[in-house]
Amino acid sequence: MSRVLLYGVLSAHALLTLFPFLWVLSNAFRESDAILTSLTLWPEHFDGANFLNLMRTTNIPRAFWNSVSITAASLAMLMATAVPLAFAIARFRFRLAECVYVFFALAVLVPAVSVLPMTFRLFNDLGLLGTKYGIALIYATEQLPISVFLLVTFMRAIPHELDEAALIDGCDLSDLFLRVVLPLSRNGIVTVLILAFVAIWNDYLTALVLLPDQQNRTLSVALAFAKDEYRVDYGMMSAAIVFAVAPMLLLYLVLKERIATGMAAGAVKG
Amino acid sequence: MGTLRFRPGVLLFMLPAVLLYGVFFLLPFARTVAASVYEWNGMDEAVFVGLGNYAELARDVLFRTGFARVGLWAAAAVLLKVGIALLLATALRERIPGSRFFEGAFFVPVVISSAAISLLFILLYDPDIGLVNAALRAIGLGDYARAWLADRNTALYAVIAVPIWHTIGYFFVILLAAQRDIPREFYEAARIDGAGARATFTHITVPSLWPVLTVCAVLAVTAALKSFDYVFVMTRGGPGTATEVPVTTMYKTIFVNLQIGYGAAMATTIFSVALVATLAIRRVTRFGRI
Repeated sequence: MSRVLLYGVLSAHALLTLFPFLWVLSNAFRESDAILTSLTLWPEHFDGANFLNLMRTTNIPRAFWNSVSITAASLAMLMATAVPLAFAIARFRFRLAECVYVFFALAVLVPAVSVLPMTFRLFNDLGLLGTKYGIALIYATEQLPISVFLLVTFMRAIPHELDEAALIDGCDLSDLFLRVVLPLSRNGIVTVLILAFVAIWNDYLTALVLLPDQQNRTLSVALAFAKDEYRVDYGMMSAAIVFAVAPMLLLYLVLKERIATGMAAGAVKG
Repeated sequence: MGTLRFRPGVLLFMLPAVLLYGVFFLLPFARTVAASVYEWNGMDEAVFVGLGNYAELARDVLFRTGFARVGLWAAAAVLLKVGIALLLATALRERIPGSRFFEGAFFVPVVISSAAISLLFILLYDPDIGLVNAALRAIGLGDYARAWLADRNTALYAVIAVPIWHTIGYFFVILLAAQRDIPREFYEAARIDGAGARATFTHITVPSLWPVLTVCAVLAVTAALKSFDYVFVMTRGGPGTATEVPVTTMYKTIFVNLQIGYGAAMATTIFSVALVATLAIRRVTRFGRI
């Protein structure tokens, strides 16, 4: 009896979670008239017109590539700053490093939203507002505290005898960093990259504020505008949603364990 | 901390991150707090008004009701997100046939952007084609069918439900990992003592998870306080001001009304409330630990 209840509850929640996606996927292959007349999870016939329209007549494909390049630039910026800092904090013992660490931890408490208006003004002052990649500086900054925190945790697990031995063997700091610590923290770096990727790719507000030019819109922002542009065209709306959901879903299927455990660890440790 | 002694070269490793953080976080943060004591439209000379903006905020009905709404949002988030996630995680503590499927399925929405999820719910709530109304009609409650997001009486609840649906999976994964870390002996001892499922849940699961539940509550409350995307994409704060929350009010004050100083005071208030809420939850839940 309790088994039946158990599976009943689990299945109900799984259905509640997955059904909307299947429904929107089905609608993406249907015309608006068909969507208005009946509800189905299996299209009458698979019609790719919505997707073709999406590709040809909207800026969503362009926005997709903007998201790809902006996210890549942000991750590069994040890695270039977070990894060396984590190395310094995790492997050395001195006062300043501890202060910097505490200082970064404080930022976790400040919602990025509340700082954004002044970031906008700063961008304006620095002439970064019209640029496409300026936002990478902000994405990297927003992800810095949690990334540094996780990287430090990973790097501390590397045995300390290793760097002492390396320094005695005549390694200098950059050798120690590039040849010893970096290769050994590969796992942690990949986890941090995935978490930062999900956060940056999914951002809406920062891009809405800092990328005012239409041609620089990211996928999230373009999607939100699509709502106003194709409101009545249910098929198009559904296709746009599928276009946004599918890549992340694929990524999730490939990296399932890593994303789920990484996000859980990030939350609890942060 | 590490073990190696300081050498000047280390500073070079720290410099890029500290520079980035200083210029693009600390500087705007300091300017936000500083701007909150001025009246400024972004162009003309700023006028010093002391705490005038804050005094005005205290009387601002829109901002105050916004906080009431976000309070309801946060309470619903803690109860439902964390509550449902806790039940699901408890159900899947022991691996059963199909548990990998359920674990995978529950987490799916979490990897998708809140903008895309909001768009999805615009369709789900649609009065003509939406699944919500279709489901109500199917079970004979068709009289309750309505334009959920356009109806003044339901818009707020409809909006609040979306982040709950979106992120239950996130809390589920956190709580599942934590549950599986609880030593099996605890459960075996309880079983030998004749404890039922309910007693095991209240006397072993919940107390063991308490620190993690605290973290979840903090995450749920702060997420509610900062949520902008769902509201802005689905309703823009409307109909009227029915779904207006402090963050959207702040956005409009600064970027639409160009009241930079007043908006900065809102931002500072939101940040302070988030900070106080975090500390308060940690303080209050300390008593539950023992």
